[in-house]
Amino acid sequence: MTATHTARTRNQPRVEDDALVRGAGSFMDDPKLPNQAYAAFVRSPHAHARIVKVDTDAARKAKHVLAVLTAEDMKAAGVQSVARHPPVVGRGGAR
Amino acid sequence: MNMPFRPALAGDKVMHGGEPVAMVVAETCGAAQDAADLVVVEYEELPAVVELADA
Repeated sequence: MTATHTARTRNQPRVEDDALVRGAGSFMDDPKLPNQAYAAFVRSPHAHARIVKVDTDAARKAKHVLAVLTAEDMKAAGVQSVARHPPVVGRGGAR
Repeated sequence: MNMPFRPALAGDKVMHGGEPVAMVVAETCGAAQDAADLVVVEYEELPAVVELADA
């Protein structure tokens, strides 16, 4: 084992337990901010398919809905490719 | 490095099950989910590779 590995796996004192066991923890879903909005995604039920049509009319007209976005909106906003993994950088630095 | 194009929301094609096609933003979590159910997407299924050996 390398020295780095030993240091990383040594028990560290926990500082988060007190709040958690008292039910006073704060999770990502807990904070409520002014004008907070929520998103829900429509996902493909197919492994591979051509999208013929996306009808968002009913969703746009639904109560409390602020926006319904599709690929067209991403294109209009100039959103580029969303990479799932950062490029692998070798030990010698960036290639 | 060669990276495949991965759209934030699928446009012409979906490339895997669960790929996001549309996003609904609403004032409450429930309203967003209910409205997402109202989005109608018409698909034309394409052949899919589902076996490791076929890949």
